[in-house]
Amino acid sequence: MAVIRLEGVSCEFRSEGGGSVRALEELSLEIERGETMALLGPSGCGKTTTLRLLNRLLAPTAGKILLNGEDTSAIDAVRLRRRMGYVVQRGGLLPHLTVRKNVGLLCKLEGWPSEKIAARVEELLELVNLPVKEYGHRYPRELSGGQRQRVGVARALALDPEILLMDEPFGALDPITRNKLQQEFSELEKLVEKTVVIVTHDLEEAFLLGDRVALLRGGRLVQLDTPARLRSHPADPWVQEFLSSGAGKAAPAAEVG
Amino acid sequence: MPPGARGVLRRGAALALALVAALVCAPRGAAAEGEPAPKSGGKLVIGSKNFTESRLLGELLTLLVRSRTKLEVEHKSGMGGTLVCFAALQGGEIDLYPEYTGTAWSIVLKEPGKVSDPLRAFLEVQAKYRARYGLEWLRPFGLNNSYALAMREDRAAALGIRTVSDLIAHGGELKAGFSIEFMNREDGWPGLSAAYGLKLKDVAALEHSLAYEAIASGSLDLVDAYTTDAKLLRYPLRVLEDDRGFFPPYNAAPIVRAATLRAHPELREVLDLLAFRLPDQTMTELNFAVEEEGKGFREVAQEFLVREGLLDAGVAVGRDGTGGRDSFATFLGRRWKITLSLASRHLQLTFLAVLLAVLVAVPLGIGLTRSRLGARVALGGAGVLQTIPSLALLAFMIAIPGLGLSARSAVVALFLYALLPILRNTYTGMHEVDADLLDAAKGIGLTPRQILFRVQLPLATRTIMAGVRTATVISVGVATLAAFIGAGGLGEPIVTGLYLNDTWLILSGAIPAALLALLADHLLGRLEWWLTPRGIRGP
Repeated sequence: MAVIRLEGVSCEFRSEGGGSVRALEELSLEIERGETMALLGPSGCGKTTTLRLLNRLLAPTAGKILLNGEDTSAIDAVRLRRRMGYVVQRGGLLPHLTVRKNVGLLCKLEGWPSEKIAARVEELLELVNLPVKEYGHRYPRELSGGQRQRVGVARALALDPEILLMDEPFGALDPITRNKLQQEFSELEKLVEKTVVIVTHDLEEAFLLGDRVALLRGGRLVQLDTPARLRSHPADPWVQEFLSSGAGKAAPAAEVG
Repeated sequence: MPPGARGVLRRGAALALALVAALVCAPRGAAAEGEPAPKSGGKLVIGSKNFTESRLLGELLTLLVRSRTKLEVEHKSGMGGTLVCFAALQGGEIDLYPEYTGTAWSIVLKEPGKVSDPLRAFLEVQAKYRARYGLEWLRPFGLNNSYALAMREDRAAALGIRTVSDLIAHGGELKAGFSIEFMNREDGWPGLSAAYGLKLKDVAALEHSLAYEAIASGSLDLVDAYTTDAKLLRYPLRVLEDDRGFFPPYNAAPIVRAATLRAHPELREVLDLLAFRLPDQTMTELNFAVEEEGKGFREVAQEFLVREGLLDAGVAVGRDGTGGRDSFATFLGRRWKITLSLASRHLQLTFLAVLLAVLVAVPLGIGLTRSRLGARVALGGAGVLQTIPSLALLAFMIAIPGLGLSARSAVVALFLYALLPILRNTYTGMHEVDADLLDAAKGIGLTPRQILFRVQLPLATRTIMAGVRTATVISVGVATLAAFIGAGGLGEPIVTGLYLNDTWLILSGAIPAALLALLADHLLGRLEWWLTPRGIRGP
């Protein structure tokens, strides 16, 4: 059974001119347990909108989203989000908290005893190759971009969520660090066996990390397939061109939609 | 007052006042009613108002009583304004102080209209005080410290002007500069110009002390003056005779609690020794000795009493505690205790006001981040409050029932001033927090409350604290004005010093106030650093 199921989901935004913009049109999608789904596409294709719909940072204007068969709109938003780890560009760490406290924040809010939190933090930091002895007391500004991103991943895993949502997690990093982190994450992924949804505009990233890739364009799903099938059987000429252009490498790191 | 300037009419009135006052103030028999009086011992407290002349009169009375009775005498010199002295007298905190008939008439008795005849004014005030308050007006000192017009001597001589009436013919050529109070009082310029039908070419309102400089330099012809003003001897001025008797009389006399007179019957005779010994000219000279020659109050009082044969030259009168000119450091050293208590009062006012402002402005500033319109309205409103001149704001407070002339008014005014910096910085600080960060915090599952207390507030702390710091420094400054409405603090010596033209006294309030502001800024800076989360602190 699919962990996440989108049924005819649309999402509209009110535009500044007073009209409305459709960021997503009747998207239907199933994400299987344990797989990594990459949402790929150019700016404004609706990939980030899709991700934000999953943890209810946005609400669909039509259609519904099911988590293990349960309509997410019926689940308390905060509870829902704590079941889904969330990793954003640049890490999104709280600058006034140490690495240890950033990672342990959600555990603390869940009321865990402090020894349990300490053990969990140590375990997670070990997992992302940042030994707690060396990095636990540091503040985010004392870390490199790559280190911050690893802390962000560790934080997202804190409550051992069944799903991990990642929004352009490696987008703001330099190419060398990005490749290194992508490799590391791809290994980590196998280790933790989570269901992962990752938003990216980077073809290589999508193909490296994604078990399946959902290619979006203008708010619509164009093709959903494994990387190999995408390459061998592009659905239409646009897909073919998108794949051959090495899309995203030159695209701006930050984008809306 | 220069010789010859006073009219025959005035002299006559003064004489008549002297005669009748001698009769009405005469002791009414030795077998006075009331409780038996201890003939010796006991303590007498003499008060005086916060300007040179009153303090001098208080000092004269003090020296006399001390040298001629067995009473222990304390002089509370320069206690405050009329109402402060009057309340102290009524409450028994002091036994007597020098008062003026005109002041008693309009400020204490609040009688409508005016009595131009000095004698009638004295008798009416005396009768009303006796009946209403059980206070006795003793024989007057002889001086009438009223308003007068003063003119440049050379200009007056050239135009042949001796009286106010003489001005009428030359009104078109004369430029006047009057004090703001004189411009607005019914017994000042409006009444005077109506009573004489007097019109002048140019009438400007300006600070009194500046008017003298202006007339000395020739840019003004005419100023308002007090008839016993020390400045009359410093500048070449001719006091114009009030030939129509417009200005109400301000004859000075000691007023004493009837109970004190009953307890110490010997007192009346001693206090009467000064009766009519201090005509305008004499008083002006004594004021001059203090204000312009920089002599101490006690020194001047003692010299006068010796000269008048009222005090033996050899009598030791004790150390002058009221303004002898040793050195500024000694002066400050002598005042350190009172300065400390004023500073603590100052801090209380400031701290209370800022604390209240924090309690209101921080939650309000947080709330405003949810409404753009609300933010605009509230910040605009607080901004308007900030533009109201501090003295005006304090004055508004006096008019509000329940506040009035009190520390409460000062605290409310300071509170209103402190609102804007704290409100604005709270609002800005909350807004400055990176929107992506808030989004991430929401996305990982923080509740709105957790986002506020665990993300926004900690990150806005530095900015909010900077606002509190600004508000505190402003409040320490503005609180010096609180003395104008009787709220105390370091403004007290500043205000008194301004009245007395006493720079040292002004500095004894101004320097500690400035130091207090610097200290507050420094300490709050430390607090700001300490409260700012380590991860976002500067080095």
